[in-house]
Amino acid sequence: MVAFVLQGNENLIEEIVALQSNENVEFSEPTRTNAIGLSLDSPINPDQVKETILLVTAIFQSAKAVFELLKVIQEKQKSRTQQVLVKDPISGKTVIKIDKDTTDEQILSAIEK
Amino acid sequence: MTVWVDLGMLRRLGHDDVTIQIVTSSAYGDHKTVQGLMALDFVKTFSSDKAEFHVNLVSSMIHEKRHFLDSLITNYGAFKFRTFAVYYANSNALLSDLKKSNLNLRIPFDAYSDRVKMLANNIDERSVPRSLSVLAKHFQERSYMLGLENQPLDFENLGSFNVGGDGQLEAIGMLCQLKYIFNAGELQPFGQLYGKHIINDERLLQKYFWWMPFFEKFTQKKMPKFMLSDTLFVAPKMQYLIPILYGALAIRVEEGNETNYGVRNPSFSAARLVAILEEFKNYKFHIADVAAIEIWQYVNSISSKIWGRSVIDEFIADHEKMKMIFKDVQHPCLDDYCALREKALYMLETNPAAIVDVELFESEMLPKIDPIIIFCDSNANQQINTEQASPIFEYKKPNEPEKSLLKRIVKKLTKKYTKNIHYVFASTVNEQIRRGFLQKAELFVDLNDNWKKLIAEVAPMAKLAFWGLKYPSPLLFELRKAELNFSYYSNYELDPNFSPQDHILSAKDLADLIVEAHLECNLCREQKPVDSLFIVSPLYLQIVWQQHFQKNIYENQDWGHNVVCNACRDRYQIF
Repeated sequence: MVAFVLQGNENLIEEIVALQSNENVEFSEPTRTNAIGLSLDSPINPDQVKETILLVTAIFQSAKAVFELLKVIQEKQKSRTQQVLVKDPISGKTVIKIDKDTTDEQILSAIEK
Repeated sequence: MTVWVDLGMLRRLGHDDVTIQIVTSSAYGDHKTVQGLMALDFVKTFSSDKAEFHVNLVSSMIHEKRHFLDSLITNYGAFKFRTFAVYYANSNALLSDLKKSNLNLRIPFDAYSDRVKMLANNIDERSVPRSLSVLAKHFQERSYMLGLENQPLDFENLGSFNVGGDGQLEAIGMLCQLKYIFNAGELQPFGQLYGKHIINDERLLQKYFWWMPFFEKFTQKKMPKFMLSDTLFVAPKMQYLIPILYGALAIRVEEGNETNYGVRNPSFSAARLVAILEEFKNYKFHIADVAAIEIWQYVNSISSKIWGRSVIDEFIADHEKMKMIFKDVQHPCLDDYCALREKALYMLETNPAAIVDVELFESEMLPKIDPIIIFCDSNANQQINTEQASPIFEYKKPNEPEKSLLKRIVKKLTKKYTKNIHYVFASTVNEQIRRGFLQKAELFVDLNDNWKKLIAEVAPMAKLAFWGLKYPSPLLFELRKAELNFSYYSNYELDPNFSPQDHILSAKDLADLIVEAHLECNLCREQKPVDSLFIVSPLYLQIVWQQHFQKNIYENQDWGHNVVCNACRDRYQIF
């Protein structure tokens, strides 16, 4: 079993989760990482409206399943400017950033590591 | 329930003791002192920037006090309180379970919120106490709901706005603040300055006045706008705002089965707002010419028509539900909150105009509102006069004699005697003095031992358990204290996927703060020029230390600035 955390803006992660769990990959419930809606700040130096960032954990039965999902994400990114970060769930280290310029070789190399 | 004033931030922004005095006086409604200080300061400095900042600061207190009232009355405000209250209610059971288990606790609790996350984090599901997994699931669901409620919406090329619960509370807060600036004697001379400040600041317009174009779009009627010439700023009548937003904030969240985000969904503030505004398309009067109390009655009738309950009935139904939830818990602070909410709702029922009419709010309600005000400073620069104030967050380390003879001699020769360490990070004014300032206050809680414990011990743990180091606390020590508290009950590790945001301040900020030309880097311990150093939050630095040196930095570290040099920043990958 292999596990990764996928981090990206709300729409991207919602689209990935919508692919639904199957026998090769299983998704967790997504988590919002911006501390939204907890405290109200003052009008002195107000924050700008921020985009919502979601984290979702995925467990895979094989390296092939990882490659297939990351390829789907790569395809989705071709018309976009944002990134999806693929991170190790325990160390939090980024394994690969997937954006419109990411190649198949980079994905394969990240999985092999 | 608490208003936090970050005195450290004020100092970092370059403000002096006069500013600190102005903000502390305005916190307790000591308008005479505020007026004197502001006039004197303006004459002394002739700085319109500083005057503008002081107007902002003083009126912000009214803004925050309004949040306190709305957090009590509206269902959205109470929903936010309940999000944390679930932790308060269950903390004893949780800590007792943690003490009994051999768990290496992962903070925040998100890793325990479902099976997939537990598998990915090598957590044996059977070893997780039920109290922990239930809270983790609660936090995951609530953060998702709050995120959905407050997701920014792109609005026809005008920008991205938060039209959800927080955005609505902010709009009400700002309206009351603006009214206060133009009505209050001590601020009137500076009103024009503040008006121009609003008009010229895109962020303020986006965050606090998003509703102007939004209302126009959904009512399909022209809304009155700000007028600004070289010499004059005029704010239009906006007395319709609070009644309409109160209608939207009467969300129905504890009754389930309302998961579809449709425009008529009673569970989301933004959805309720759109539905209410659409009803105003057929309103026969011009909205700006109608009294607030009449708009309030109309919004109540809209709510009854669409959702089967008037706004006030939605508030009461939510309160009754909350009382049932809290009934079995028997937590004194939750009981206080319920009693306070009951009182506020009674005020709304018997004299709604004092709450929904911004003009009457100032004269009739404002003197009755008294949240707990906490003054904090991450650098522990506070000088506490114990007759007037009591510490809320403090750190004491006893004077330990130096064991090494050589070091003792060196210290004596260099006159570096070890001092008792006593840092006060946050304090509040003594209860007796607080009551003396605000004799007319009706909506307040006594800052007794239960509340002190909640603020200083339990709430920080809830914040850390919920959001980890991402919680935007104005006081870093608050989260560190929560870590120390958890460490008493369990081994723990901080989930790096929730590492703190905004943990590094620029070299320029540091140079603005520090008079010395050189400072010691906290990692390599070498003296470096200030413009090559960065300020790093103590919490973030702790992660770096644990990662690279496997020890806790706090054993020997004071709570001043933590600075790292360029070279260490690269070496330890602090980004």
